[in-house]
Amino acid sequence: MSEFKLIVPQDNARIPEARAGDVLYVSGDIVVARDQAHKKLLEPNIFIPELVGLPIFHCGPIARKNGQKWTILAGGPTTSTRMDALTPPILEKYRTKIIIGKGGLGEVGKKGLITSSAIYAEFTGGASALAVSRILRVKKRLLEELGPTELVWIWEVRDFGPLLVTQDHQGNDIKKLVTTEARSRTPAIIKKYS
Amino acid sequence: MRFTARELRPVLDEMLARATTELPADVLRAIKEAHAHESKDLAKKQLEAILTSASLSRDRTIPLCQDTGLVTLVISGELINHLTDAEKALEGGVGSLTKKSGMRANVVHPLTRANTGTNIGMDQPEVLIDRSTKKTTMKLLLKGGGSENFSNLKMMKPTASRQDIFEHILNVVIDAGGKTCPPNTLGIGIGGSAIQALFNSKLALLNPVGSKNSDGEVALLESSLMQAVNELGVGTMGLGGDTTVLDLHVAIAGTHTASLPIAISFGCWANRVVVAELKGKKFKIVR
Repeated sequence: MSEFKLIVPQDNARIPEARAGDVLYVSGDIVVARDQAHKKLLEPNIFIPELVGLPIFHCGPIARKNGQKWTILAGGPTTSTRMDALTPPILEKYRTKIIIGKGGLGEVGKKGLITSSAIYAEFTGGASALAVSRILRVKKRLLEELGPTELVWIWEVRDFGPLLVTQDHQGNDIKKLVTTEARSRTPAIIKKYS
Repeated sequence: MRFTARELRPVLDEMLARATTELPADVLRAIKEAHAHESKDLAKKQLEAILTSASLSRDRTIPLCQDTGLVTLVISGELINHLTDAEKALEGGVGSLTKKSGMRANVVHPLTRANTGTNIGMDQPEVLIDRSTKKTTMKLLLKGGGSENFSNLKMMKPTASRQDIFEHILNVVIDAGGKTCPPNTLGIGIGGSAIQALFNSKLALLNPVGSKNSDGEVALLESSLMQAVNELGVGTMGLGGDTTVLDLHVAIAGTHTASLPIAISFGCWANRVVVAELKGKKFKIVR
């Protein structure tokens, strides 16, 4: 288990060094986007250059506006499998190198990680207040037409983490190992307890 | 106390504020224990993040999770005769907290996906009636989409063996993996009609950690199922570890001779339950 402190997007070239099991802390700008935003960002007539090369965080935060300023009150990860099929084209279109979420990507998304030399990192599910404590500044609110929960944000963060790499660009997948192990244990467990 | 919406509202406001920002003491204790006993580094790190985050939420009065969920209120006792008032008070409380950004606007139209913006409308929030107790109580549950999405109902064959039942439940837990944000609380409804099984599985999530079914045989089943699930090693966030469930509650109901419904409800680690009980003339938050 190695620990990486990355500044994005400057350190993007180092990202392929990170492997499943490593821990990351990310500083810089991150893009917050979930279901409908992925769909929208992939529309042929939409391209937002400032999102290029930035990590994408699967999250629908709770935000409050004070005067002109937005404050994020809660912002933990949402389940990433819902964005699975949309991930490879997003990685390609926006040259994204880090996907942050929870629960891992499915088989389609994992192939995208390999093709685009990207990694998937988990932020602890529900650790919303911890995530918020690492936000320095809310920089932008984009695609507001998607509504308060689904729109896109850009946040400047410092040491956003701990992010645990669970799927890397070499096809390693911690969750899959855990699942395979659990399945192989099942018959003996049933025998013991039922 | 009269059970008018106006009189119920302050109690519900307090319950909602607490449910969104603070873990029940028994759940927090269980997570701390899981952290202390965890033997895997990755899981320990995740549990540490959970404990840090939960303590930040409490100190700063900010939501435990951005997914403040769908809101369910379960009422019992005398309150059952005042369902409409309870509904009205809950609606008021949820609408007001959402407006203050204390809750995320989660409620959307199921087909158009248009957000109501208020967490109100189209039968939300829901109020359920619990007839299993004479006590007059209000039990509030906030449940996020991640855990709710793995709710499971299986109509098993009535000839299914104990092994078949275990196998089914273990498979559901493995398939859910980290997506339900373990360590979970598991509610399992066995028997009844399909809807009773689901209802019971959800109600079971309201039981405090450590409580056991009053029927000795069911209590034994709870213990063996819990040990079995934890031996799978799915662990915190599905990353492998010693604790997959903090507790597991089984609720049974008489069923049709041709049926064996098994319903499973997952509560995420932030199993946000607040309970108020009528003491004399006032509702008091007891959990």
